[in-house]
Amino acid sequence: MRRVVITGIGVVSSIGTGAGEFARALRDGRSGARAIEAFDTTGFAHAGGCEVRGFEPGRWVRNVPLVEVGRAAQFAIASARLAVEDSGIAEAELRDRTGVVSIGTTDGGADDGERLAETVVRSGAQSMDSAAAHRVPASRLATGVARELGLSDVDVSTIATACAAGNYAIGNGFDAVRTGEADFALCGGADAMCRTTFTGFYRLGAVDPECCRPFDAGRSGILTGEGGAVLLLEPLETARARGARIYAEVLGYGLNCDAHHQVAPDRDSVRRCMELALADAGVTPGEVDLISAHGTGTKANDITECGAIKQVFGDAPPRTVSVKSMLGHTMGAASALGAAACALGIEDGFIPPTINHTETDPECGIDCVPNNSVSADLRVVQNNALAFGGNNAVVVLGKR
Amino acid sequence: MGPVITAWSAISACGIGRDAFEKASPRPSPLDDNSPGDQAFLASAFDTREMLGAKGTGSMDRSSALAIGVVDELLAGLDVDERTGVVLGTTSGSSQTQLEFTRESLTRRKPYFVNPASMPFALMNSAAGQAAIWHKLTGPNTTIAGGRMSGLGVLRYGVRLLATGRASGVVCGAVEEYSPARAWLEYHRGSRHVLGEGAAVLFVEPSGQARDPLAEVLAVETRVAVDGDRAAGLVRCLDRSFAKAGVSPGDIGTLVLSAPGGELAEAERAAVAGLRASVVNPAEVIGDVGAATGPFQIATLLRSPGLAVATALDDDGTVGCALLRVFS
Repeated sequence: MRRVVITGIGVVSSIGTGAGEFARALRDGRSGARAIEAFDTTGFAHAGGCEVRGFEPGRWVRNVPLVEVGRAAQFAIASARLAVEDSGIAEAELRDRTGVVSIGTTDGGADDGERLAETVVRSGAQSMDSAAAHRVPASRLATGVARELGLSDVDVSTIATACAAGNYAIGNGFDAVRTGEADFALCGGADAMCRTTFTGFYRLGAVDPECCRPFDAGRSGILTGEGGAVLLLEPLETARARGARIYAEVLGYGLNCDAHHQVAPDRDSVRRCMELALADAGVTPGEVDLISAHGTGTKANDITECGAIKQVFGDAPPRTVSVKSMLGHTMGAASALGAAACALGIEDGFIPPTINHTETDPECGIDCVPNNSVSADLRVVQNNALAFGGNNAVVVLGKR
Repeated sequence: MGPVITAWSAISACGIGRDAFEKASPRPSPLDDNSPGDQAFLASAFDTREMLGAKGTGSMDRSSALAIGVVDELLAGLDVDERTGVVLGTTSGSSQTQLEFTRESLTRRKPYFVNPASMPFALMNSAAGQAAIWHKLTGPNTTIAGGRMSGLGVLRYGVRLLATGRASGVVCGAVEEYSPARAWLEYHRGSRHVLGEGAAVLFVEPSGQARDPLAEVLAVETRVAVDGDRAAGLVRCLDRSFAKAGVSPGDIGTLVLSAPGGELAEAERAAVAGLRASVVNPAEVIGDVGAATGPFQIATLLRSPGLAVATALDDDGTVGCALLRVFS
């Protein structure tokens, strides 16, 4: 098995675009929360979210006709382009290699889908916009990246495992490069703001009226968000041979399924997933310096996740942060953004904070690095992701 | 020996289970649901309430129900452990459930007067997650939105999970429901084929296990026709598969096609023009089952011992093939 490293990071987020700007925003503890503009929020008592403002798709989508590319696919393409640029590999060179493009998503083209549904409700199904109908299939995210970058010798997959999808995609890319099946992977996640997701969480009473405050005693839910993050993975030898900057090594990952409840996470199963990931990475719990939690900011998630963390790490677990406090819950992009944050933290020597924090919930009982980032030498970092359907995925990054 | 297929099952217009798929020649059902077509190949024998009971199925989407049903058929008499994974393909989940959710939000007195129970069923990973919950499968659980490439995408991904030891065995398959919402989306994408609904799954595991293999997976090759030449892309996948497995194109006995018609079918036929295999296309029997086409192709080729190829193409530009050795 080959060792696999991250040599390129591409990010589109509510707090910054590009690896450098994203890293600065994380260090500063910036908030992406504002009033939602992506859809009509009339009738909701509150409607805050973390949208990407000022995004110009034409800057990134230059080869595929823009009319064929939905917003989530635009984020995937922009993130992939940024990751390739960041890696220093010429696009033409990438085209000669066998690769993997794997993009995780919760909603895929559902933002177009719900606008088509509105057409059906208001004017009838005959009136659907044909171009939008073509943008609905989620496969467009991964194939959009391949088409835009001219990559033909690639195994493309859009992985639709809801809110854990980013980690799934990174794990998939890691395995393909590790086994020698592929010589590079562009992997991560992307999602656009969706009315459906917001409405569903709102109905469940799981949207915080003000801000997202994971692990805080006063937390009351998520803020929905949007964005994308893509990592460029390649074998360690290739990266070394070309003198590439190596952010971090992907040490391993774990996947499992609660097979228990559709929406409520299962503590023992989440624990098991972390154990699988650490075993795959060949590290012990004592070696982990930081956990980037799923940390949605709902009552149930944070207690269950922290409980599982303590089962693995004991009563004094490593510092456990949630970048969702800054980015909101970006669904399929969330764990990819989390992994990007971990890699940047390892490279730049800092821990991103959990912002909006007043008082830690004793039932969570972890050090969430409240409000201000801290400098730290990080050797091993664990990035958690949980999803509806009991889909768990944990990725472990590090430097050796 | 590479990974092997040791069991399969299917639900379609043919009925429920293997025997039904082998023997039935269904006729499409007439439609009066204001959808653009006047007939479709419905899996009428599968009634959710009747098959799964009333508990937990009130808000359930058709895709999830079909997935639970077909995995139930597969696992009957199959002893699996707790590291068994489920990998299912889809186009975009249950379009009907997504449409109804938005309809409620737009037409009720408040936009949030929606049925909260239907939300998780509107997500694309519902079918795989539900199949795991109903059958207590705690291994890797993955949904791949590959459209018409789902069958190959799922197989390639499932084989990778086995190669890295992440699963002891993988239920690989795909589901596509029939619904007016799907029919209208397909219509506006330019499709005029008779739609079908169905779910099919294969059990894939490392060779050398207790169960007799039905077929060995020799190669799965996929790529993206970024230049628009799908036929040429598919030829490269076929060539690479043959080279990898060390077989000659002349030895291929069975070829199972995927496209129901149109441009994709033309490209598919052009790519395989050099093969002298007997050709079958399950869409002629069960209609256009979209994402579920792939596992139905594999189920079809399992009938004929020898070397067999299944090809696939999607509108989004992906092309690929699977090469299998079917045992007698």
